[in-house]
Amino acid sequence: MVRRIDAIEKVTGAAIYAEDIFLPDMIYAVPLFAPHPHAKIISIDTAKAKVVRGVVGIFTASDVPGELRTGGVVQDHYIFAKDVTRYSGDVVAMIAAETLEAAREARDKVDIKFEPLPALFSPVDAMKPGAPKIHPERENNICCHYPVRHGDTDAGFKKSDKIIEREYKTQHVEHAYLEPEGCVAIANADGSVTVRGGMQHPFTAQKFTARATGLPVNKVQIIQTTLGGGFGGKDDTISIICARAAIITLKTKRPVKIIYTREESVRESYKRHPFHVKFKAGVTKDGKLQALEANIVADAGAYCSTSPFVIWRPTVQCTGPYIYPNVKCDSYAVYTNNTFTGAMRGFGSPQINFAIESFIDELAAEINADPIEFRRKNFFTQGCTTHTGQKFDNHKVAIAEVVNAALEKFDWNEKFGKCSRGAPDANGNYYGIGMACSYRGVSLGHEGKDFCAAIIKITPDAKVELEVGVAENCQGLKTVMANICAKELGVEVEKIIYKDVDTLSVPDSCPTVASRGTLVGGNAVIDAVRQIKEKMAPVAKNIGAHSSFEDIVSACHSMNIELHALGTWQGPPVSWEETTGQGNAYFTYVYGCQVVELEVEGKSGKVRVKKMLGAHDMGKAINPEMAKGQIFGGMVMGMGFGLKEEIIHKEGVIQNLNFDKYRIVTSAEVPEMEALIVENRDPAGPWGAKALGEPVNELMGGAIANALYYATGVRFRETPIKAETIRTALSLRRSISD
Amino acid sequence: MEIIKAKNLKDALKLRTEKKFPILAGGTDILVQMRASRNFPKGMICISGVRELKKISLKNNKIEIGAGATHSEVALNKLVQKYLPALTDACKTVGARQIQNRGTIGGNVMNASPAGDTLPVLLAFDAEVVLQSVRGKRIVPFTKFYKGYRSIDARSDEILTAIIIKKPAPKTHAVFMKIGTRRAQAISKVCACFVRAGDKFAIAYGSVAATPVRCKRVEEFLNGKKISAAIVAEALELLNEDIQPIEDIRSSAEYRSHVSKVLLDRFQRILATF
Ligand SMILES: Cc1cc2nc3c(=O)[nH]c(=O)nc-3n(C[C@H](O)[C@H](O)[C@H](O)COP(=O)(O)OP(=O)(O)OC[C@H]3O[C@@H](n4cnc5c(N)ncnc54)[C@H](O)[C@@H]3O)c2cc1C
Repeated sequence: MVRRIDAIEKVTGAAIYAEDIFLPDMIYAVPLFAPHPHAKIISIDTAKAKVVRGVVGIFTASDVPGELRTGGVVQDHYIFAKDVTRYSGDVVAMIAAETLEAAREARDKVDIKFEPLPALFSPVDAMKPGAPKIHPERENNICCHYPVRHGDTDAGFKKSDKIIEREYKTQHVEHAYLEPEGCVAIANADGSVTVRGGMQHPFTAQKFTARATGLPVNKVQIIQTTLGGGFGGKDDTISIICARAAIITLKTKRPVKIIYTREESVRESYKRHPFHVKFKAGVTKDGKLQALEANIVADAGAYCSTSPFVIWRPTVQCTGPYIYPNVKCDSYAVYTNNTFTGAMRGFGSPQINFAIESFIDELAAEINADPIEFRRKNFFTQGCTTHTGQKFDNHKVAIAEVVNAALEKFDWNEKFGKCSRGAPDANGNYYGIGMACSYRGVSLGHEGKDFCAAIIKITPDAKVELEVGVAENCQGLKTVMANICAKELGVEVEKIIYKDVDTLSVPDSCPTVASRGTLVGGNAVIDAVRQIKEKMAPVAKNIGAHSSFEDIVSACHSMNIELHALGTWQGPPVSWEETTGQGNAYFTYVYGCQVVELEVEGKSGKVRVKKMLGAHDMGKAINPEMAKGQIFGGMVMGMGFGLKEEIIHKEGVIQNLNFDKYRIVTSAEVPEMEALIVENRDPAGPWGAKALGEPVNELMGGAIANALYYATGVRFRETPIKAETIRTALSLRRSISD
Repeated sequence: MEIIKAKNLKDALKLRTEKKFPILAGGTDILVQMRASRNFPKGMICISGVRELKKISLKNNKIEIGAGATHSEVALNKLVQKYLPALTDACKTVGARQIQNRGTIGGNVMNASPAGDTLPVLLAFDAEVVLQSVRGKRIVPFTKFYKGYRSIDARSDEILTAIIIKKPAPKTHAVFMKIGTRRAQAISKVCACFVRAGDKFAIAYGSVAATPVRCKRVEEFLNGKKISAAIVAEALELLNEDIQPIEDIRSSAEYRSHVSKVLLDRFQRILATF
């Protein structure tokens, strides 16, 4: 068993989070939010607030020395709302004071005069011609659009015996990381700025901060503190907060601390995109899929953030692991005045897979086929060509393998026969099982350049300093990197001194997202070790075969052979043609299958999940225990998406800002779980490893919807599937056999 | 803010009159409310160290539960387990272990949320609350204590010192039930306590009206009758007249009304097994 290298400091409380940093002369800053989701700001009167004892300064859009707008893809996100607010989490001002209490007291005294503007809370309204424009510089409210044109869907429908159309909808989901956003910024004597904080990707924070302060990138140092969870959510918002902290420290010349409360965090930070998916498929009597038309509309909220990438991935994966010879897909992300949406574990895939896997079961039901046999008939096969024209011949196409492994372990056949199918037992309860499976592109694909670097320095006392450009997000990255490094070098892992990411040290290694950490970081580490070994080899040869690592290091040192190396890795080529949506979207793919067993209490509609199983081909499990942890955690998070979690907006204002009303799954509901590791090593990965963090979070929603169907006979097409909805549906129920 | 730790009950009563600060028991409601409203008192009187308020005793056929007993202390108490297992169950569903270790039964009563989980139990058992001040002591029956949404018959210098419940007659059957969104840390969508003592019934619900409510119509209908599925089916019709659930972020009015019936029906099934 591998021990996490950061475990002891975390469990003993010694780990330093942003909130733990205290510096002499430090001031505190708090955000003042938009008074209305879409309004014209007429005036901001700070007179009463400024005189609150302890207030150091109030900062607004006019205090931004650099660019007011930022963003990773499109620069449309205002660091401070100026003239207009676009969602209720827009920050109009930051109030800095000697104490947190004073800052909050002053915040209550800022008087904002505003005039509400017509607001848009649904993508459907926002897409209507003539709808008010949320970003006036744009042509309309469509943030981005991705098409795929493959084959001829009309011809495909003609060949079909049955044409089936369905719609599915998903909700806004909060990441619910344990640690709300926080950072501390310090203005240095040379005019540069250092920000320490809990960001998932220090290089984004660096770029955002440089842009907003007007400083060159190399005058902005970002150092990651221990991160209290991210799930994709510690990117844009925390980077913007870092930029604001930097602006304030540069003006006041005092260290500035910003630690969000849960309410502030939930109000400002981005959410998972709600999707509205429309599918139309044609299938022959004997169960062969002929054509698919998919229309995906996602609510981008007020700002673009990573929306183009978040809808591009489900566009590439819109068929699921099934061959449709003819596909037409159009995906849109649309601006509204809701909370903006962005990256979250899965990146569009939990939403699209809920739709795909529900739909596949619905298609099977429509042609009276067994849902598993129906899948098998249409699965991707080795060497097949997908709807983006990519030939799957460079990796093992393992969809059938993971599904077989999962179903066998779960006793699927036996349990499937026992499903209630709409006929409750004597107590009025229902039993059901359901499954979902997927394929998923690894790493960024065509989204962006795919690069990673790692630095190894071996000190004369034979300690190995390791720094990797991808960041610890609590997923265990440091442990994985340290273990790869130790094993490749042939030393004990205790020799590794792991250095947290410092943007002024290691090269920008693209974001720690897309489940790419192990793959890209591991490859960069292996490359660095290779260089070190090349330097050590001749020396080792000279001093004898049985010499220890220490001896060789010492010999190298005395011979002035410096043992440091910069390892790099560059992703294999990918391609994409924007107008037709054809190309080799990702350089390799992973496959997964999850199964769930549940009971529904008919009278109350309450669902009790009894068992979940996940089987995932991750290439190679570098640390099997942590891999299982990912599978368990991903399934539980998926259970929350399927059954419980939902950010509720009312006229653009979030109604559940804290965990008393935003309900994630607690340990009390976590059922028995099983994880199956499937290993088909990939030539692109370190030791053959591919990806795992997101695939495990993209299936449970669909599996639950399917299980609920085989239990109750009712098809639920909208997440979360709450007790209230189930109860209402059951009172109108028809059994499956009807 | 000034937090004064009362040494004993006398001290607490004196402080309450002199300082007029609110009482801080476990703080699991008041601190949350202060933070949300950003309305901070000048000070608070902390009673968590007052031993007299933690006693649970049986005297003269009456069970007296100190207002300062935490939900964990109530749930683990042998007397309560023996005579009031429904209260044990209610205390065990409040939040989760951490909340039960801090939150008190007195806080639950004084906070007066219609969703307070122990309240239907206390209401169904015709509990009385003991309110004390330097001026003296008052005993108010639970049925008169809640006057409206979060409005209670308590004065600004009073402290709730205890809750008194008559020892139930032998062969009293009582159950507590709760419907929440999840198994822990979930405020009730509906909670209820059902009591049958001989051929008399007491039924109280939480989260279905502005205050915890006794279902008088249902009780009167059931009293003296031999319970059966058919009788309860008739009683269910009356339930709607006793409760007025609303729609809020936790659930819908329709769902609350429906599961209220489900719980009553479940009680009938449980009784059948006694
Ligand atoms: C995460 C969480 C989950 C929760 N879940 C539940 C749940 O499932 N069910 C439920 O019913 N409640 C729940 N609660 C609410 C709360 O825990 C209970 O109501 C608890 O019983 C309150 O007791 P306390 O001692 O903490 O009260 P406090 O917060 O200390 O006090 C509450 C109010 O009563 C007053 N008060 C307290 N004691 C006295 C006294 N002796 N005399 C006069 N006034 C007094 C205080 O001044 C204050 O106004 C939850 C709270 C949290 C934070």
